[in-house]
Amino acid sequence: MDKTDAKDQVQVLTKTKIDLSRLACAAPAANAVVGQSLQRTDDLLKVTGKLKYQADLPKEDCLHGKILRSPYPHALIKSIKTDKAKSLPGVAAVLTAADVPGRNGFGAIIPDQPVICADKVRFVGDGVALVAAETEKIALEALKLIEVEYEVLPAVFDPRDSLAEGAPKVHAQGNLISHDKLRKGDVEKGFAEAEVILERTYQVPFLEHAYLEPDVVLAALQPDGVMLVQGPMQAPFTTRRNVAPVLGLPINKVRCVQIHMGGGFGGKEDSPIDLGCRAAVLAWHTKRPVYMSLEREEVTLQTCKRHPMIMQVKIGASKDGKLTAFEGVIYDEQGAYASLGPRLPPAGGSHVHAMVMMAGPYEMSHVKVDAYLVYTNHPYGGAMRGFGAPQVHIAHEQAMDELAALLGISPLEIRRINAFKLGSATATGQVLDQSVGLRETLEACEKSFGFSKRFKQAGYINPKSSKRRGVGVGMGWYRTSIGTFGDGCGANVHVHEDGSVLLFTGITEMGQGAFTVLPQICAEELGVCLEDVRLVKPDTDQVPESGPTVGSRSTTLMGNAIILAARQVKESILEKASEMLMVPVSRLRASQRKIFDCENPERSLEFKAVATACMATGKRLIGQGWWAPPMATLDKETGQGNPYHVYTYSTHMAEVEVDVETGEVAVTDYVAAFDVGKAINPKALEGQIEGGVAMGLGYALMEEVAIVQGYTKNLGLNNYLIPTIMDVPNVKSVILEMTNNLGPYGAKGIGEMPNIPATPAILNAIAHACGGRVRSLPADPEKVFWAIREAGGPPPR
Amino acid sequence: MSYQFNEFHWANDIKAGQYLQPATLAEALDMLASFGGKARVIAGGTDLVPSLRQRHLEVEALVDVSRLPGMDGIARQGEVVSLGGGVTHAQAASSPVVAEAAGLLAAGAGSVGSPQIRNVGTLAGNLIAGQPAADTSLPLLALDAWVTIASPQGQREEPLNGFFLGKGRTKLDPGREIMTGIHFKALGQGRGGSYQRLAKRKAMTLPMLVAAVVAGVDPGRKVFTGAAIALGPVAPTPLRAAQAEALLAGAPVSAESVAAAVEKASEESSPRDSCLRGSCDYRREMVKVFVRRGLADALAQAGCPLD
Repeated sequence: MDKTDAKDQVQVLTKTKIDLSRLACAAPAANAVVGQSLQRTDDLLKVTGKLKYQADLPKEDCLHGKILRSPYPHALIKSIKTDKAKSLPGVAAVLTAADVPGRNGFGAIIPDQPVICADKVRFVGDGVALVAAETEKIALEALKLIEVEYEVLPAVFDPRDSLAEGAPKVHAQGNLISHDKLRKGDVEKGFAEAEVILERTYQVPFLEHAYLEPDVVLAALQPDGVMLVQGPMQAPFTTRRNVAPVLGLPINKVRCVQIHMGGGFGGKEDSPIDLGCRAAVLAWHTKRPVYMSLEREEVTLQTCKRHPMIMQVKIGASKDGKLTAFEGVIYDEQGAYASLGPRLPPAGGSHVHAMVMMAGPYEMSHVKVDAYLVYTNHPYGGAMRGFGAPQVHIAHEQAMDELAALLGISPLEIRRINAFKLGSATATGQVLDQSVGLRETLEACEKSFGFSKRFKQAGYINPKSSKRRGVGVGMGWYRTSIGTFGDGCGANVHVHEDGSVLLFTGITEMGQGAFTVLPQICAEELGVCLEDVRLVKPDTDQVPESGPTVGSRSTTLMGNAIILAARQVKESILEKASEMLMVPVSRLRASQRKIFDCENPERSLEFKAVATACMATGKRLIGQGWWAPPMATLDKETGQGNPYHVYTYSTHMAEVEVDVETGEVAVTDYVAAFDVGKAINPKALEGQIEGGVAMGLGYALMEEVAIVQGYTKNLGLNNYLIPTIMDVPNVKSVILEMTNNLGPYGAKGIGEMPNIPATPAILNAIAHACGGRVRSLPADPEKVFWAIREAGGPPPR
Repeated sequence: MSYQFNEFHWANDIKAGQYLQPATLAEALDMLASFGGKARVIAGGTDLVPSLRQRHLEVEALVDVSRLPGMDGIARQGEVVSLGGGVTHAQAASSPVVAEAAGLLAAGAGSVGSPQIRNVGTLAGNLIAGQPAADTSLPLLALDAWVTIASPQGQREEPLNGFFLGKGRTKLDPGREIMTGIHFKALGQGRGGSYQRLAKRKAMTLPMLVAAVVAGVDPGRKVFTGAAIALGPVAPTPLRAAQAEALLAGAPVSAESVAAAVEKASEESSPRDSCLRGSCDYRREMVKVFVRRGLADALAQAGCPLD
């Protein structure tokens, strides 16, 4: 797809160039590879069915691993008898807690989840025993032969109940994992200055990622004692970091190989740790390769979910719409295990992310937020496309609209008055000193969508219809990087004597396009074409530590590392070319397989010829780059500091039709504008946007893991509803490029941003259309129906 | 409360013993008879296969009727439209004969699952599964359809009104009998129909509520000659709102008549509280909306619109 074809969908509206640093390319206009909508490198393999996922790979000689699960949300294990299961023909191993060779615990941050539960189970689905057998069927039969005696304990399912005195303790140390605080200015003073104050509580449920590919892993002990763990994984290094201590091995004796993923959305950051540790323990005991795969219902039972949150908001403004103070309380339900929830200093963790962003992308002098992360006997919360941010956007964006209505000003007006701009200070006191395109996204969205006009036209779609039309806006911001101390990224670039290139990174592909965008950056920097760069698939034995593929960090952090690696090689190339052309290095440029003299472009050499000459004369053709963002800061007591180095900004506008008699909602029109810094591959970016909007729509209208007393009622995709193509409107993307000084070619992260403002934009549109507002998601037909009732019935005709 | 983990479909292979493909209807009936009720007819398998995997059902043999001759036709003879026992949802949804004679049935068949499911699933299977909100059962029930059943004792006809005995149970013995045909009278002059469906998303999901309505009118006198209101899931079986229908028979075509019937239909409905498909209160409210809309729609089609 070339750029012209994309023009009606993707507009590049603004180019603001701020002081170009070393990383932002000197001459963006001349880019031959970056900024081009090149076909994604795996598209053809995917659409022709040739791409192999882990489940497609041969399983000969493998044992099949299965997990015996807890049938109770909270219980003590009194005894386990495995004799009958062990004596079943075809069973190779039946393991209980005592069989774990090393640390019986894993977790992305705190190893609080047992590989095999020893004395206690904490949610329905917790692993009580592991079986490996010659076939999956035998393994399942063996599970039925294991006899476990439980003593059922009282369980706790609401984070507020969990914090109450005398609540059942999920873990011995108590149910409060962390209470974090943000204090800016003096909220009492801020509310005293306010002329209007709004107080609301918003609530969101557990969400399932519903990635297409259920989790699967292969663990195989190698002849040299190395444990190979292979499968789809967003964080091979985190998996390795967990498997090693579980087996009692040093990190260098575990090898994690990532296979192309059928979707992850954050969920496959820690589910491969869970499955990988368990398969590895089975492989360790049996000395045979062990294959474990989860069925869809098991994915829903066992793996992490998007954190549910109860969010209390108090927001004050002066009569003219200027925000004076914000006070928030977040009850972030972690569920049974810590997973990715806890604070990872200084600014990691779901409730910390939520706390930092809760007041929204708006200027305010006085902010106070308390965030509680709490254990319960539910499945556990983990990362899901925005990690803490989608939840709080649902709170602040709805609060902004409700406040605007109280003030009698429009949703656009209140945002125009308060939105971040260059130089604004955030709730953490961070001064946004570069690449702040928030207001620009609002205006670009307004220009394309015509919100102000449509806002006034809302009402019944015709005199006879029960459907009312309405429009809504959602604004958002999202960090690039994860806000922890250890957020570095490494890349290796190898150029060969024929000019071909190998690129080594540990960033994984899950459909987001990393395996296209990263080679694009490498090719651009070296001055070759995309097809000259082959990306080596993530394998912890081959690629440098890269951190996880999360936090919208891949393009930016890894992109920078690739640029630094490529430059080391390019230095050799340019020096050699300088000798060959008798032209100083400073006058040389590399582009599209040619090295040429800027002042006399006719004088040029083939990239390949120069590479050959380098190799022949012993010049270095190997580069290694390492990039970490500027050190994150966040004070433990006040929540003040610079938690993330740069933010992506966005505004979404949605039109909905609400049937006021039934509560049914259809999203009928959609525009989403983003300040992405730089679109490395506009067409791939557009794909991210459309998918993200669909995901945000699901959050708004239908998605919810329905759990009753600890038991999930919708384990399958027949009952856990995500939007179909029939539910998603045409999405128009508008792309703005406010150069990020610290990004490759000026880029910022985009992976998570698109789904974040989508949910509140749709919720605001519903409220505008019908007068009823749903504050506890999802806004399914029944909830919309009762919200309309609560608001006094359908608006008059 | 606890899960029976081994009820999940993946814990089980289908235990079906034999998979038989008869060449004629007589052979199919013989095959079924030889298993003494422990065999099952399979056509599309979209309901049967999940039941088998979840072990809600165990059989010794499956008798595949999808290739029997003469089962896949759709024909109209005079007033009567007949669908063969093997007609799929996709066929019914796209048939001009069905569209002209009973648009509500075409709409219902077009709402089942996804294109893949509609391509293999059959209307007969939908009826025999005996679910309270099957997308084709309700319009057929409202159309006063009747079915032809082949059994070892010969052929018989059963009206659909009274066919459904309980959740998953009908007057057809699924281990011994085969549904060979579905018949109904085309709506024609003075009659109209409507299909109303409420769901949380626009495809691939079971309904929260379906209302299928047929109204007959005398346009000259502006009175109802009859009305049929089929609702689901508001009871263990697809429900005909008989009392509401009785209120309408002979009543003038007016907003008042409709309003009275709407209230009565809601009273006759007793949907369960479901955390996935909505509360009883909400669905009773929706019965009112959908019966009203269904009647209005059907009356307009019958040439006697409400003012």
